[in-house]
Amino acid sequence: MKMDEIAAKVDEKVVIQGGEATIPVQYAQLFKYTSVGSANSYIRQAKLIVSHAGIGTIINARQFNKPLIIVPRLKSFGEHLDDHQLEIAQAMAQEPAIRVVYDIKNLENIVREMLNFIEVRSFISQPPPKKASLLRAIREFVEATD
Amino acid sequence: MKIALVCSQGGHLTEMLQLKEALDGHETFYITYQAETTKNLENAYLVTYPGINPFRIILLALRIARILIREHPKLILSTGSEIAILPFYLGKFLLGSKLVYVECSSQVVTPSRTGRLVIPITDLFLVQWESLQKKYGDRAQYRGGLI
Repeated sequence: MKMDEIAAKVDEKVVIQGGEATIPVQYAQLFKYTSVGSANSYIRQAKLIVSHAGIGTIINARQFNKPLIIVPRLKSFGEHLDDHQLEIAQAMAQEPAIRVVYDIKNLENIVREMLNFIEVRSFISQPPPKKASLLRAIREFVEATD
Repeated sequence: MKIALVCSQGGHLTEMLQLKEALDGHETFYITYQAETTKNLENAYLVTYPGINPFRIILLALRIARILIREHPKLILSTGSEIAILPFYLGKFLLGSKLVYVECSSQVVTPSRTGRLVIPITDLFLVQWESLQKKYGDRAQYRGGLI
């Protein structure tokens, strides 16, 4: 597992949610799945998040102001039925604290770069304004139905 | 008012938890899959992913029909994914529930299969990217997004 190799080389503790992956790890701490609360607490304590383009992780990384490396799952590797993760990865790539890795060979270098990323505070300190307007749309509809 | 929250575990659940603020003051219950992330949810009916096995889909439909008849939600909100299909169609035609579907923010330019299946009967269909609204057309609205 690539992040386990990186764990051997960087001076940071690496915690992996591996899901159904069966590859053994040597240097990182590995678990399969965990509850929302405990996943959030790992994210809150982390200096850097590395993840597939799963939306839950993207939202939580932003919520807790964490720099994020996205490694999209690709259809060509049989990791997904379609390339929908590329869509979101490309849409997020403009964000200052997000990097997208398309070639796993580059992951280690980008991890090193991002560990030095200091301007996280400018990333997002308030909920995105678009969230408030989405919530308003739902609230209006709910009130009209009630 | 009683509101059913329908979503799969993972990112769809994360989005639901973010949207739940908009429902303050209303009584809610979940219909979601059994998973590590959902086992501590309050007021949740945990169902099993049926895959494409027709027999299991029928069993799930019966279970969902029973849940809906018992709870009688006036509104059903879903953030996807395919778990929304049965509650939407059953809720609409058994109970006349109002349906709100919020397409996952991971769909930037391509409509999801679930979205395409439920949009004809959904009362409020929200997408989280302007680029996706154009793909769905007039029945879909872009009013903002979570990311």
